[in-house]
Amino acid sequence: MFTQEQRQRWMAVLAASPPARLAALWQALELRAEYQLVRAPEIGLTQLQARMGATGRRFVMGDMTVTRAVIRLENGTYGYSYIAGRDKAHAELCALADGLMQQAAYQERLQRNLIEPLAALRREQQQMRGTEIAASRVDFFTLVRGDNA
Amino acid sequence: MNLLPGFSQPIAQCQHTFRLILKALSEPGVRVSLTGAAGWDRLGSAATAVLLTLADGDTPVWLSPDLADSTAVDNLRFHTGAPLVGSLAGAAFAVFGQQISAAQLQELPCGTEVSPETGATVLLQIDHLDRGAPLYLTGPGIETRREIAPSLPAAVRDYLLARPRRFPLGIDFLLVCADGLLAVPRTTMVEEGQCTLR
Repeated sequence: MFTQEQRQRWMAVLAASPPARLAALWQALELRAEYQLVRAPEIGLTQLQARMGATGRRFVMGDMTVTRAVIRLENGTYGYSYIAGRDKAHAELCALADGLMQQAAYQERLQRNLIEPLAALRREQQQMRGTEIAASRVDFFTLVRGDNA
Repeated sequence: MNLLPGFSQPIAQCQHTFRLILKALSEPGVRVSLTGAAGWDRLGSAATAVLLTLADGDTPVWLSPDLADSTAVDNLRFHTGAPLVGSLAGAAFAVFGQQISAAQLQELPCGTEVSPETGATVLLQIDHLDRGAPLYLTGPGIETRREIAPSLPAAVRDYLLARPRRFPLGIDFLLVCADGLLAVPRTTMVEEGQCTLR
């Protein structure tokens, strides 16, 4: 039905989606799904760890806010979500979308109308950010000095 | 894996349950009703509510084998994040059903003179809170004396009547049945029905 990589991908897309955009796409789908909140959306902190230059020793960069939720569909499938920020409704919707994406009956439709548009939006935003950064890029180089020739 | 819902309003319900547990512990023998959680299979709603409120990553929990089916274990891990321990000696909370022995009570940590708060809390799920032989409670939080009649396993009854550890050492008991909770903390003196000072 789906591989772990596929699920990781759609969960990542959902987690990074702008709440308003996801809600709009969801509304357009007009799905009616019965579900139960196993873990009501809750806000907490997670510690961010990093390495200097990606190779140095591990250090704690700081904390960030995350919201998580778990839902259970009527047939017993669980949908999980972990998102950055404090938007509980968004976390709940992401968990529901994760749950439905595991259902063969919904998967293709959701993939086409929800995940792919969101993934495209994300790619676009990443490209835009990439272009912005590339424009401000400065290359340093050392001029050859005459004395060490 | 069979995950069941915890509290629907985690913060408000945890605070409410905490207040009720506090009432039960400060007025030993008073029965309070914990209805916030639905219960996890063999764990009743009061036991579930107490665990959801008091257990977290810092409180090792010991689950009695007669209650530790996969539903209880999975849900406890999922909702509270509490580490489940295999030995009673390392437990902060011990959850028992009717099967409990004197040796198990002996093994539980009862605190030290310097830090008596490290004594374990026993969450004992019994069949009835009001159909056992009567016991009379006296001590802090009780004006004269209070009568309770939980259907206690013999080991617990003997422990409460004998109190083998001198105060401030000891074990605190939370007795639960369905959604009812009553507490017998270590400050409470317990006497049997027959030999009372009437």
